[in-house]
Amino acid sequence: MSEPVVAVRDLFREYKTTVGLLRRKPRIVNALNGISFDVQPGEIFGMVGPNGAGKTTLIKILATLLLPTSGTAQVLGYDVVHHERRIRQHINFILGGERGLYWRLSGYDNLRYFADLYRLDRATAETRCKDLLTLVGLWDRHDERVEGYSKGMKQRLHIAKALINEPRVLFLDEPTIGLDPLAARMLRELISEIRSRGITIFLTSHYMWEMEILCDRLAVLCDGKIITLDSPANLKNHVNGLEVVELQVLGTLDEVADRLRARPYIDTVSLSSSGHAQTIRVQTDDAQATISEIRQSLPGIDLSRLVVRPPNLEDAYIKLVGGES
Amino acid sequence: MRATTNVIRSTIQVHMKNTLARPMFQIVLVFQPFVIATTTYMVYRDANVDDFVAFVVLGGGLSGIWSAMTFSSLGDINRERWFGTLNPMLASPTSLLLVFAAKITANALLSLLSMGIAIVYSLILLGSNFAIAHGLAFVGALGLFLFSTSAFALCLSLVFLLSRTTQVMQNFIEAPLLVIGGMAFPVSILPGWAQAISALLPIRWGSETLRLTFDPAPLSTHWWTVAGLTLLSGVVYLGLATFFFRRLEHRVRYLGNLELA
Ligand SMILES: Nc1ncnc2c1ncn2[C@@H]1O[C@H](COP(=O)(O)OP(=O)(O)O)[C@@H](O)[C@H]1O
Ligand SMILES: [Mg+2]
Repeated sequence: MSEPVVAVRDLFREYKTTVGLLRRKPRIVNALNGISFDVQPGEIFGMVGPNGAGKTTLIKILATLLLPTSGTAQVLGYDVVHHERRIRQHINFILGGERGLYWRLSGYDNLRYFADLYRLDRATAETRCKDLLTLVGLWDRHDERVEGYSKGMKQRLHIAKALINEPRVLFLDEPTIGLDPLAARMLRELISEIRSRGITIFLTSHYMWEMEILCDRLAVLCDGKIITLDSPANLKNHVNGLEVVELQVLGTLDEVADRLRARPYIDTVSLSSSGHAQTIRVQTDDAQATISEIRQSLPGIDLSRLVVRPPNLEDAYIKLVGGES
Repeated sequence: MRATTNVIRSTIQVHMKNTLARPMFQIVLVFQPFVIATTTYMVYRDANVDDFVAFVVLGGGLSGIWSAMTFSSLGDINRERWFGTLNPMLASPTSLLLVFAAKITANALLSLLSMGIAIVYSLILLGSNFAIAHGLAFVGALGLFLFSTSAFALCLSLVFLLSRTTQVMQNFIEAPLLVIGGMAFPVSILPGWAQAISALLPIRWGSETLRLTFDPAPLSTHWWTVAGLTLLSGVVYLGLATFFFRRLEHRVRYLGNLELA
């Protein structure tokens, strides 16, 4: 096997913060709790995990923006602590959200400025800016101010910006967060296109089905630790033989969830809310028993709203992180 | 080398595009010279001070420059932090020190507008009393003032890079230093401790260098001394900025505070 592009060994990172406004007490947050993994050349390596799991912290360390507290991380064979300059030439990154661009400048001027910061000569800078804006589908609008761009357009400009130095490794932190479905799809196509150019991609996301499409391997991060690392297909084996019973109601399902958790035929119960509606997802090896239990707990429930389906990667993920989603 | 001048030029361009659109900057640049020149004029008109003219012109002009500079080093960093552009800058092969230096240079150039306004306004206010005795020396002194203040602002900007609570410090620094920096009235009327602090500020030497060029008497060795001290203070602050920058980059990566949480 060839040299790994990213090699992480026993990596820790803590943040020192204070809590309380008046009597400030120091508090230590352990964002990364000893993680180790390798990323192979040319692969799309995904990392998923609940909010606060440490994904962004890890990306920042690998992108040489943050120092680890202990452990080692190498990118392209160089140590992130001491050889950051070597690394920076060959990598680039997108840290989630819309920030990182000058809103008062045009898309082209933004890109052109970063070309200068990367010390490209004039001719190279101009052709590369044009090529990249064409690649991300923004050439038509290149001279408009970024503040007028949609979220999807800003994110595509971020991608163009991240390619300005022809990186060998790209770190993308939740690139599709907050995008509408169409914009998210364009971005995924873009990521596939970039990968086909031989660039290694380290990707984090909240959306499992997206990771399933894109990633060769997927690590599940929880409380700063990697719980599992495998291909999406193998991760799905964790929910082999189970079925998922899913129900959405207006109101609360907390009690039902508690009752179900006590039943032996139930594997994992997860609750999620959106607005006034709550959704319960039950992973079980006995769908019939689960349904009658729900029926007893919620007499008069409209059973047409109940769905029984085979588990997907998201369910495997929910099971791995113990019901949080 | 080519790439370096390129970065400086484009940073100045980007900075000006970003800055000129901001109303606050325009107010500082354009109105402050009026206000300070008028106030100084009223205060000194009947007081029979020798270098009355110098204080009116310089009070207005230099305070405009000073505000633009402190605004640049502090406000700009906050804005970049808000924009989220500091991280990509840090990761690029261009040193943040160079980027900030270019931004401060851009502000120095813009702030010349304040000086221009102060001069024109003083001409109207003072009429035939307006005279700069040593024109060439004035231009030279202005250059020294800009250089040394820029170096000082660069040092400040590094301090502000480390801290997210810069807004308070910005207000804290801008006005008091205006008072003890000798821009609107002579340092000699300040208490001893304030004079001592003042001596550490390039603006204190720079403004005296400028003020002396209004004096019709031939330039003395005293002028050359304060001019030299202005230059020296600029060089010292530039040295400090470069020296501390290396450690600062490590510190910034340790803290990881280049963006809003
Ligand atoms: N600058 C910071 N200061 C203090 N704590 C932080 C900072 N950044 C992140 N954290 C904490 O570290 C943990 C991991 O955060 P993060 O890496 O952002 O997770 P994720 O990206 O997976 O949501 C969280 O508990 C978060 O609150
Ligand atoms: Mg995150």
